Amino acid sequence: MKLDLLSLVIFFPVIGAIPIFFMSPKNKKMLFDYTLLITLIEFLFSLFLLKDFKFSLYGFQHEHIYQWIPAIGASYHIGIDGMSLILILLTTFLTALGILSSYNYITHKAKEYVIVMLLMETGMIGVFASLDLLLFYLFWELMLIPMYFLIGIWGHERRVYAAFKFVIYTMAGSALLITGILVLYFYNHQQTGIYTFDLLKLYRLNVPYGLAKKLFLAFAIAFAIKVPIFPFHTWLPDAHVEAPTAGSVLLAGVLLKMGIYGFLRFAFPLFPAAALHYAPFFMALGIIGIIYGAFMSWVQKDLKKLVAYSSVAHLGFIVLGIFTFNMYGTQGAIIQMVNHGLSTGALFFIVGMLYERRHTRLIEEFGGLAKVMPVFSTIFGIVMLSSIGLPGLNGFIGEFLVMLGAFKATKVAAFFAVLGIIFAAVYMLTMFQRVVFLKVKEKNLGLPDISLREFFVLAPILVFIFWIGVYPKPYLKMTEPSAHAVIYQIKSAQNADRLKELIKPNEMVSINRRNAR
Amino acid sequence: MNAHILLPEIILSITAALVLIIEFLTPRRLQFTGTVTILGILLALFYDLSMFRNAGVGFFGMVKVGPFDRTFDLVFFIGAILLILLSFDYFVEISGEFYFFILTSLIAMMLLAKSIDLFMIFLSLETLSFSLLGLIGILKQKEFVAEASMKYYLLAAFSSAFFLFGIVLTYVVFQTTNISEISNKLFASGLTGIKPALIVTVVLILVGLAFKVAAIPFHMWTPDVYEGAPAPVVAFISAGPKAAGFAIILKIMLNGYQSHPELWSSIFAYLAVLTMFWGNLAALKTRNLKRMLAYSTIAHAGYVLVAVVSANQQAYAAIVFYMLSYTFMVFGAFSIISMLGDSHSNLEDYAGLSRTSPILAFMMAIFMISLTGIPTTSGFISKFYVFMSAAKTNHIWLVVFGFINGAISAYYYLRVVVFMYMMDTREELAIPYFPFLRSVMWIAVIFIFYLGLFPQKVFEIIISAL
Repeated sequence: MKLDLLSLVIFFPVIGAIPIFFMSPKNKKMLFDYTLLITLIEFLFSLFLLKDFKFSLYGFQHEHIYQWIPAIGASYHIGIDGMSLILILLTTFLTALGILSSYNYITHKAKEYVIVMLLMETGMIGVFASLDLLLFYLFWELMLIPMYFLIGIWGHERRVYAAFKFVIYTMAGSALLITGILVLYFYNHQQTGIYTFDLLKLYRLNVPYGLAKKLFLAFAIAFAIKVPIFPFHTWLPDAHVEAPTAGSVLLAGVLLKMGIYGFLRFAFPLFPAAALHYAPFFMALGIIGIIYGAFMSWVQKDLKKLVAYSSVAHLGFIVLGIFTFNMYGTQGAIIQMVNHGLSTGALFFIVGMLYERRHTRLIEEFGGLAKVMPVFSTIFGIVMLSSIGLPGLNGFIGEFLVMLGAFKATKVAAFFAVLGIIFAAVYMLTMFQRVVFLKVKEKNLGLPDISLREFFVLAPILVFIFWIGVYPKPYLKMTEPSAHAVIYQIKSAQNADRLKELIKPNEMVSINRRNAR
Repeated sequence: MNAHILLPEIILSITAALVLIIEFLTPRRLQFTGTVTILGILLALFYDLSMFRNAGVGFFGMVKVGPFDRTFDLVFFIGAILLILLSFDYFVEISGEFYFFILTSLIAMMLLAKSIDLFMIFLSLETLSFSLLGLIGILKQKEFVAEASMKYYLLAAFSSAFFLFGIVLTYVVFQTTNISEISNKLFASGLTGIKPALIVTVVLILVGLAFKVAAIPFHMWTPDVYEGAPAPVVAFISAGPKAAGFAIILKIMLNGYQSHPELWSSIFAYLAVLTMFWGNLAALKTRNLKRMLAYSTIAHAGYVLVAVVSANQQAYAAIVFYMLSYTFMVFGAFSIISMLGDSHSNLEDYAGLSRTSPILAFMMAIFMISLTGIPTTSGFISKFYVFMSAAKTNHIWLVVFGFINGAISAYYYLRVVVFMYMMDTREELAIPYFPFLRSVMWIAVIFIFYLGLFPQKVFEIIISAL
C-alpha cells in the first residue's frame, strides 16, 4: 500500500506527535519549536495538494479507496474537491499560527497541549477529506476529545462547564446524525442490495420524499448544532470564551465550518428535495442568527464574548447563503467560510494578545491603545474592518455574494441581511472606538507594542485578507465546481418536483420506465 | 455420551482439582497456584480453538457445541486470564481457593453458553453464582465484603427461584425442558397470539436472567457488590458472567421462542430503554468510581439488550463483539482502580493524577473515552455494531435512545478525566509500580485500539462462526 499525499496530510500531525511523548515536559521552548515545525511542514504538504489539483474539474481529486471494515461495507475512502481543499488549507494554516501564538500563553502542561493540537489537526482535516460516512463520523467525533481537553485544561475560569457543554451538545447532535446514517445505510441496502457507507455510492440513491425529510432533519440538527444555527447556539459563547486563544481560533476558524461543510457535502446532495422543502425555515433561522448575534455582540462587555457572538451573526450569513441554492449564495458562503476563519481567527488572536498583556478582556479596561500600541492598533483596525465587510478586504466579497444570492432568492431575506451588516458596523466600530481610541487609561500606559512573534502570527492573515479582498478570483474558481455540483443536485430535484406537478401519475410511470431502460 | 466435545471443560475441572491439591500441599503461594491455573486455562483454550469448527450434541442432548458458542468462550477465557494477572499484584496473600473459584466459574460460564436444556442451564447458573460468591467474599476480613456477598447471595437465590419456577411451568406447558424441542412444539402448535401461560414462563425465565445481566429492575445488587468486592473480581463479574447471561438469553429467546417474537421482543425493548436510562442517570450522581462503573455496567447491559430486541444473525455477532470489547475496557479501568486501591476509588482521589502519574491518567482517560463510545476506540465500534442490528430491524427509536444515552454518559465518564486533568491533588498518592496490573492495562489499551480501528479480522471470525 503506497501512502498517498492526502493520507499523508491527514495523518502527518499524529505521526509528528509520537516523538513528543518522549520529550521532556520541562523544555517548553523545544516542544513548541518542534510542534511549530511539524505544523509548518504540514502546511507545506497541504500546499502540495494544490500542485496537481485541477481547478476546473468536477468531482473529487486525490481520491483513494482502501478496505477498512469490509464486513459492514465501510471503506477508507478519501478525496477532495475545491471546497474541501480550501478548508484543509485554512485548517493547516490556522493550526500553525495557533501554535505560534501559544508560546507564552500556555503556562502549564505544554506537552499535552501540543499533542492535543496535533491530534485535533488530524481530526479536522479528516472530516474534510473523508468520502465515507462512517469514516466521516469517526473524524467528526474524534475532534470532540481534543477540543474538550483544550477548553477544559487550558481554558479560563468556567472551563470545565464550557467543555462539558460543548461535548454533550455535540454528542446529542451526533446521536441523530449516526442514526440517520444507519437508516440511510439500510435503505440503500434495501434498494441496491449492497451494504456501503460510501458517500459517492449513496449519492446515486433516490430517497423517497417522506424518508428524506426525516433524514434531512436528523443530519441538519447535528450540523446545525455544530454551526451553530440560532436556537442551538448556546454552547458557542461559553466554549469560545473559556477556550484558550488557539482553541477559540480553531473553534471559530475550522470547527464551525464543519457544520456548513456537512450541509453542503452530505445533507444537500443526499436529500435535495428535503433541503428545498426546509430552505425557508433555515433561511429564517439564519436571519435570526444575523440579527440576534449582532444585538448580543453590541451589549457585551467582554471582548471575547463580543467576537463569539459576532461569529453567530457571521455564520447566520453563511447559512443564509447556502440555503439560497444559487451560485452567488453558495459561492459567497464558501468564500465567507474562509473569510470568517481568517478575520474572526485574527480577532481571537488579537483578543488573546490583549489578554496576555492585561489579563482581562473587559472592554472598559482598555482605551487609547492607538497611542500605546500603534502597530497593533493598525492591524486590529484592518482585521475589524475586514470582519465588517469593508470593500477591498476579504469580508466584503463573501457578504456581497451572499447578499446577491439572497436577493435573487427572496428579497425579504436580502433586506434583513443588509440590516445585519449595518448592525455589524455598529457593534464592531463601537468596540473598536472604546478599545483603541478615547483617552489612554493609566493601567494601559506601559503596554508593549506587538512583538515580532505576534507580528508573524497576524501578518500572514493580513496578506490573505487583502489578497481575497482585492483579487478573489483564484479562490472563487477553486470552489466553483463544488458549488455548482451542489446546486445542480438541488435544481434537478426541483425540476423533478415540477415535472411531477405537470405530468399525470400514469405518464410518470412510463417516463420512469423509459429512464430505467 | 460424546464426552470429547467438552474436553476444554474437563481439562479445566482437572486443573481445578489440582489447584485444591496444590493449595493443600503448599498453602498460600499466590503466583505458583495462579501460574498453574493459567497453564490449565491455556491448555483448555488450545483445545477449544483446535476444536473450533467441530459441532456436536452430547450428554444426553443437554449440551450442544458449535463454533458460535466457542466465540463466547473466548470472552470468558480472556476475562479469567486477565483476572489472574490482576490478582498477582492486587492480593498480597490469598488462599488458593480463589483460583479454584475462577476455574469453576469459567467452567460454569462455558457450560451455560453450550447447554440447550433448561435444567442444564439452571445447574450452570447455580454453579456460576456460587463461584462468584466465593470470589466476591474472598477477602472476608475487609469492610463491606460481607454486605456485598450477602446481597449477591440473596438476590442470586431469589432470581434462581424465579428461573426454576419458569422451568417448571415450561415443563407443564411443553412436557420438555429441551430448548430445541420447545421450539419445535411451539412451531408445530401453530399458535397465534399471546397465551397467558406462555407469557408467564417467558417472564419468569427472564427475571432469572435479567439478574445475571443486571438489567432494570433486577440491578439492585450491582452498586453494592461493585463497591464492596475487590476491584479485579468486579471487572471479572462485569465481563464474563454478563456475556454468559446474554448468551443464554439469546439461546432461550432466539432458539426456543423464535417463532413467537411477539412474546418477548417488546419486553426486551422496554427493558433496554429503561436499563440504559436508569443506569446512566443514576451514574450521574455517584462520586465513587467503582459505584459509578456499576451503574455504567447497567447502562451497557441496556445497550446490549437493544441488540437482543432485534433478534437477527447480526445481533449474535454484535453481542459477542460488544462483550469482547467491554471486557477489555472494564479490565483496563479496574486495573487502574486496583493500582490506586479500593479504598481510594472516590473521584477526589483521582484529582491531579495527570501530574503525579501521567501514564496512568492517560490510560484511564482512554478507557473512559472508550466507555463513552467515542470513535477510534472499541467502545464506539461495538456500540455502533449493536445499534446497527437494531436499525436493520427498524427499531429506530431504540437507536436514537441508545446514542442519546451515549451523550448522557459522556458527562460522568469525562468527569473522571476532569478530576485527573483539570483539578489539583490534595494529597500526593504514591503509587508503587505493579508489573502485572500494568501489563493488563497495556493489553487492554492495545486491544481497545485494535478493535476500534481494525475490527475486520474479529468480525470475520465471529461472522464465520454464526
